Amino acid sequence: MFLFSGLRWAKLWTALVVVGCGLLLYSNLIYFNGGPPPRFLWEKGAYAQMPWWLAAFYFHVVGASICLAAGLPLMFPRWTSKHPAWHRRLGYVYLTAVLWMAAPSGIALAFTAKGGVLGTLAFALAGVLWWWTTWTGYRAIRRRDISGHVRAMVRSYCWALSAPAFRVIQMALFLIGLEDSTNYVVSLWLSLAVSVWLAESCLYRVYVSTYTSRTFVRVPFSHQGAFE
Amino acid sequence: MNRFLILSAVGCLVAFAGLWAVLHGATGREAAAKMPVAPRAYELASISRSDATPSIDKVEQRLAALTGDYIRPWKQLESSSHRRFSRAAVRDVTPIYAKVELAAHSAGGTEGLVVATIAISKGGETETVPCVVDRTTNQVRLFAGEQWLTEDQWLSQAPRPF
Repeated sequence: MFLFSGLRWAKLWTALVVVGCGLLLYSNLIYFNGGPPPRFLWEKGAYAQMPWWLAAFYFHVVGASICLAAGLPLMFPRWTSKHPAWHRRLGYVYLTAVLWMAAPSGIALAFTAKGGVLGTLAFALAGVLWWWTTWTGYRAIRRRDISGHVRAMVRSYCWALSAPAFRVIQMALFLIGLEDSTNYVVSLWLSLAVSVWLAESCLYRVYVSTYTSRTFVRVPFSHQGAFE
Repeated sequence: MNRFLILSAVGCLVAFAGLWAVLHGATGREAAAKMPVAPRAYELASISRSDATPSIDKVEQRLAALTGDYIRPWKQLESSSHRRFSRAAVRDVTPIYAKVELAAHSAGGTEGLVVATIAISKGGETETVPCVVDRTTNQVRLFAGEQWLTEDQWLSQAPRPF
C-alpha cells in the first residue's frame, strides 16, 4: 500500500488497514439489516426522529462506506498502473462518494455530534479538510499535475481512514479504562492526528527522503504510468 | 468540473431529497398512527374511575406498569443492536431492574391511601422511591429528588445510560 511504502512491516500495516476497513463496512450493515434499532441511533435521542438528520446520517454511512471500499485499491500503485481504466472509474466513484455524499453530510451531522463543542469542531474540521483535499486532488489531475493529485489523494484517503482509526483508538482507550465521554473526544482528536501523521509521513518518505529537494514534485516511480 | 461530476452531484442531490421526503413521510405516518396520543402502559393499567376502592392487586399492577414505563428507555438501549467497532459507546449497558413493594399494612386493607416503594437497581446501586396511591382519586405521587412528583414528572426523569 502506497501509504506505508518505505516503512518497516509495510505489509502488516497494509493488512491492518484492510481488516479495519472490512470491519467498519461490516459494522455499518447494522443500519440496514432491519433488526432492532442500533445503539448509535438510540444515543442520538430526538435527532434520530428528525427526517433531515436521518437522511444525512444514511447518506453519510453509505457515502463513507463506498469511499472506503473504492479508495482502497487506488492506494495500491501497482494495481492502478496495471488498470488505469479502473483507476479512473473507481476514482470517479470515490470523488462522488466524498464530494457529494460523505463529506457534506458529515459536516451537517457535525453540528449534532457527541462530545459538545470539541466533537463538533473535530467532525466539522475533518469534513471540510476531507472535502477540500479531495477536490484539490480532482483539480490537480484535471490539470495533469500528477504529483499534486497523488499528494492530495493520499491526504484525502487518510481523512477517510480516520473513521477506522477512531474505532481502534476508542477500543484501546476503553480497554485501559477511560471514561466514555472523555474517551469519545480524545479518540476523535487522536484519529484526526493519526490521519494527518499518516498522510504527511507517507508524503515525506516518498517525496523528501527518496528524492532530493530539487525533485520534490516528481512523481514517485511507483505511480509512473498510472495516469496515462 | 466535468460532466460526470455534475451529473453525479445532481443525482446525489435528487437522492438526498428523495430520501428526506421518504423519511418525512414515514415520520408523518408514525405521528398520525399515534393520534390520538397512545396511552402509556401505566395508563392502560390504570384503575377505572368507577371503581371507588380498587383492589390492592390493581394498585400493584398499576405501579408495576408505571415502573415499566420508567425503565423502558434504558431497557430499549440495553436491547439495541450493537457492534463494538462503531462510533456508539463501547461499554455494555448496565442491566436495570425494578421492583414494586407495597407496605405490609396496605395488603388487604381498605384505606384510601396505599403506600409502596419502587426499587430501581442498576450496576449494584439501588434507588428506592417511596410512593403513595390515592385509591379514591386514582392519583400516584412519588418522592424522588427530595420532592413529591406526579407520574409524568417522574417519568420525565427516566434514567438513560448515556
